[in-house]
Amino acid sequence: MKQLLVLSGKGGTGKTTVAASLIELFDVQAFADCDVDAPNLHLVVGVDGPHQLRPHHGLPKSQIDPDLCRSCDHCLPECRFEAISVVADVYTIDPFACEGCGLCQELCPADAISSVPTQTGTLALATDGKRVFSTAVLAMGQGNSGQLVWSVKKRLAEAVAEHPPSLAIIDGSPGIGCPVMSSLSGTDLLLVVAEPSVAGLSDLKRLLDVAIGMEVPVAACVNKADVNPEKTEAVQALCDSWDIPLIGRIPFDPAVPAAINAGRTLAKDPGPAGVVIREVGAAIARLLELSPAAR
Amino acid sequence: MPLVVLPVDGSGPASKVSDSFGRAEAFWIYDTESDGHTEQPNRGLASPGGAGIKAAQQVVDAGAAVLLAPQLGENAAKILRSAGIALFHSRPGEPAANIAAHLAGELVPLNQTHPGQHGA
Amino acid sequence: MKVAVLSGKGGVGKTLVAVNLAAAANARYVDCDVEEPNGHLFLTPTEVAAEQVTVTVPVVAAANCTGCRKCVDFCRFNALAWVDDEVMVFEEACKSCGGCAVLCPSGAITEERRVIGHVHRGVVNSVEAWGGAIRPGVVSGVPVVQQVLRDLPEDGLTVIDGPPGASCLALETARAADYCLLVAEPTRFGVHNVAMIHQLTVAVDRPCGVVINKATDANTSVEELCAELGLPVLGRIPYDQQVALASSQGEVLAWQDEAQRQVFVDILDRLGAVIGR
Repeated sequence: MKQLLVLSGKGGTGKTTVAASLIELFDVQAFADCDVDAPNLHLVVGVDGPHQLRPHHGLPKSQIDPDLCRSCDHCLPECRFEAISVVADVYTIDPFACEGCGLCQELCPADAISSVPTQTGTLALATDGKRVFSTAVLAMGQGNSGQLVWSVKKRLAEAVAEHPPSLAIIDGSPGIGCPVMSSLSGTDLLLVVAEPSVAGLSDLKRLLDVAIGMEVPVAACVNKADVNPEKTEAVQALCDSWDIPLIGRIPFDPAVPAAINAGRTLAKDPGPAGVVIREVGAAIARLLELSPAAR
Repeated sequence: MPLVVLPVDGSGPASKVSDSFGRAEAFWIYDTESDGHTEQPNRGLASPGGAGIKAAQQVVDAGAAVLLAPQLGENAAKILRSAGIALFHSRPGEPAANIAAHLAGELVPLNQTHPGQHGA
Repeated sequence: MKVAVLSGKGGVGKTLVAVNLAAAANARYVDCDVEEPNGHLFLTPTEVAAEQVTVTVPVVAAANCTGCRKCVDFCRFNALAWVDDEVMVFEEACKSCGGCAVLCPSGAITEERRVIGHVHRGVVNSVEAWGGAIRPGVVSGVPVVQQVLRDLPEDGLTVIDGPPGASCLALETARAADYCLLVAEPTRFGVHNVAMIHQLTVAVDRPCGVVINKATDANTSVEELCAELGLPVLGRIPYDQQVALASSQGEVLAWQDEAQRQVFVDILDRLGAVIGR
């Protein structure tokens, strides 16, 4: 099973639109949304079927048992996260402030502090008997993590382990942090969806540094290329300097938001953006050496 | 007692070399003298961050002389090199086939490392 | 008055709205998108006062270390390893809890400060531009955001450009503000994401309103959602190829011409009306 990962660096460049279109274009049977901060892929290429949910846990946090606590105040002054407070001699820990370092547990002479599991998100796996979709949703105010992204990919791989399809497509998260690096491992080809703007270029450079450092093969396309032709040329020059093929310049096309709003991808759209997205698909098929049956 | 270690997913005969060192399910520890092997669950697997560091510590503590892996984060490589463990590129598939390839001198040294996944 | 500009997803025009509101009102602009800070591409003060953001990391005096491994076994962030008879410290994994130094039985561990980013301030065209950025490779931007928000003055209007998403950083930003302005695009993605970020503002109990970017007459999905949630729509920025181009060049629309400025002045007026001043 070849893995295609779609990333963008900057948010809102059209990453999910391109990923969804490629999923439909190749009739991909295994796909995942690792953008757990703002998962959107399911809105256009959802899988109808039961979702298997599984809680995802971060580091356990500390909790004080009031019956065992002797109010000795050993823990409070040492907590760097100011998570421990005391009101009328009753010590409590704010689970949002607690980082789960466990120092208070080590210091407590009464064994009154224990670890409680903390759910940071929920993993979801959906299948309709033919297609498998893996994703996750973060709990309010929690951060994405490399571990969570790894789990999303792992569940997808496990679900198709018996009959792996020829291609899996992963919609990644914006930025260049740990979730992005985690999504890059095991990737056969990274498709970067770039935006022709000062902000887009600045974020693209940072992303390419990370991907090249991890020795992942990269191809790029520019979305809304005609909005700023000068910056599109700058993307081309940047790609040339890294020997990265620029496999498509997707024009601004009102058909794109119209299709997304109708819950459709651009895979069969006759408009100018749809035409280029199919060219991008053909180039990816060549780069990944997919057999014609998989196209 | 020279030990050769690989990160694997699955267990027993179903084990396959894992794509990731820090997030592997287990370590396959092969003893070149006895021609036998043991398996240890990866203790770093449940860590939101620093999984590669934790996994490398486990491999060092197991007394490994050689590690075969598809790739390594910077931090894990630093620990393993400091401990004098020789690093080689693994091939996808079964650990036994990789050990045979290693003993035949077919595997290439792992010199490149990625910047780490900072799995936090 | 502190207004946090937020969006569920990236790239919907959060920085565009925040920069131009600050420019139209000669207010204070604060970039809290410390992982991908782009405000400085638009607001470029010539003189900048910068201040480092530091966290503590452990330093082990090998001569005093007895090799008990207590610190390594304690560290849940896996920032310490015991190799070749010494403790190795991995600073980027450390969360600065200080536990290793407290627990070391031989007093071999002390702490020093590590720079993880900076905060900066400057003035450009009567706009006070504040912001923060993390150094590449630094995992958590929370200390940088906290330092930026800590020193914010109460006087005048402050527009805070928040981080994308509904994560811990967005939560910190919303909590520091008196009012949250949600920027949404009229697409299926936009509606889904504004609903998500709205939940976050409810969780921190902050009033909020919505600005629709790339608004079209044809699609009223965001308006429908706002009606359903009881949120005021404070402005519509129509899609315009010229706006898109100027913005992609890093230009500030409100400084370009009066008509553009008026779009943001109108949003500020409606904002003033809903918050009762």
